[in-house]
Amino acid sequence: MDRQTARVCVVGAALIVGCASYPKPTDRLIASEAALRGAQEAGAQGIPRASLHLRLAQEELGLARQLMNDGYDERADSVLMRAKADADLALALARTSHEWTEEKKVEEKAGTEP
Amino acid sequence: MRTHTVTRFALAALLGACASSQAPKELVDARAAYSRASHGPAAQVDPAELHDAESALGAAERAFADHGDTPRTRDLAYVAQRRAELAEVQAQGSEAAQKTQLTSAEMQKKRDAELARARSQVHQQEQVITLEEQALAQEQQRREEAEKRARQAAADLAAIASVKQETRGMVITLSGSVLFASGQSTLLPEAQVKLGQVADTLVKSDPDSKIVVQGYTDTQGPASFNQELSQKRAQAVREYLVTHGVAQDRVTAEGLGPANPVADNKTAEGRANNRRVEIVVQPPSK
Repeated sequence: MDRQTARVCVVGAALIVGCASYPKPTDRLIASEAALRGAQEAGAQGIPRASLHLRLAQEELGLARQLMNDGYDERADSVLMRAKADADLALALARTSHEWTEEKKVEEKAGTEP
Repeated sequence: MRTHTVTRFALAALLGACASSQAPKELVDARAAYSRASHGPAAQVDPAELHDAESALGAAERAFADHGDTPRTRDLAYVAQRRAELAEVQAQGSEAAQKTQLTSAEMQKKRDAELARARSQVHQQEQVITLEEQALAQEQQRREEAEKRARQAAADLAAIASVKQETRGMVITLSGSVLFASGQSTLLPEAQVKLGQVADTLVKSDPDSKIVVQGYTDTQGPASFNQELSQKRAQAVREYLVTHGVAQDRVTAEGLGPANPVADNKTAEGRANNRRVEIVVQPPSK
């Protein structure tokens, strides 16, 4: 399933569920935004695989905000879960990439030292 | 334990599938991701994160079992897949960090060993330098003492004989008439007193210096006689010096006859000056 189809499914499902009473997922929104910022600060946008998940998280956040504006809070809550999971993964990928770079640097240095 | 969990999830998935429909792609992917993570380094390196991934997959499986393929089930499965991937990635990162730390520690250990080796070398070199400096100081002191003795010897000799400093060394000149009777090579008694003082001074002088006793005559008489007389007189002085404490191997004697006159042989006074014994004290060769 490509991302466009997934988005249609998500929005479609939201329409089906409708606007039944559900608390605004404000806490999850804040947590997802914070996770996204963390990934950006770790330089996720500069690392290909991390960058993909960062972009997914951004798109999911955008979609969740739109759903919340439209009153589909329950669906927005689920989408925010996805956003946070993607942002967390982007952060982990960025950090691991740094560790690999560091490992390579130290190994090269060890190879050149007498 | 992890294998059991995966099996449990798979069974639940099968039951769910029988009850409702086929598992959504998100859930299938999540199961695969969790299986991969649980068989990788995460189980040892990052068990807490793997546990979170397991819990997330459990939530997705329950949602599928209870409600079938719903958007909520797919969202939970999506999250579970990400959590499993995250556990795997974090474990890889931790492994890399551990390797970096190990390599750095080994490098530091090598550097420390190298530093210790270099310090030890410097210490050894310092010890060698100290020993060399001590030897140099001792040599310097020995030379100073020798020079002092030489100066003292020259001063002592100056009181009893003519002493001159020449390029060949210190030259002590003793008049032939004081030492020997005319035409003889036996030392006179009063000469022995004087030579005794010379011997005392030479004994105190630098033991490394060499002494040459040279006998001279005037030009009166046959040359062969003068040559032999000068040799005998030099030899007599040498023997006296040796019997009075001057090391035998330091002293040599040579007769030079009328050579190297120091005065005019035409006058009586000049001839008297030419009849002489010179004791040359040669400084030690460096």
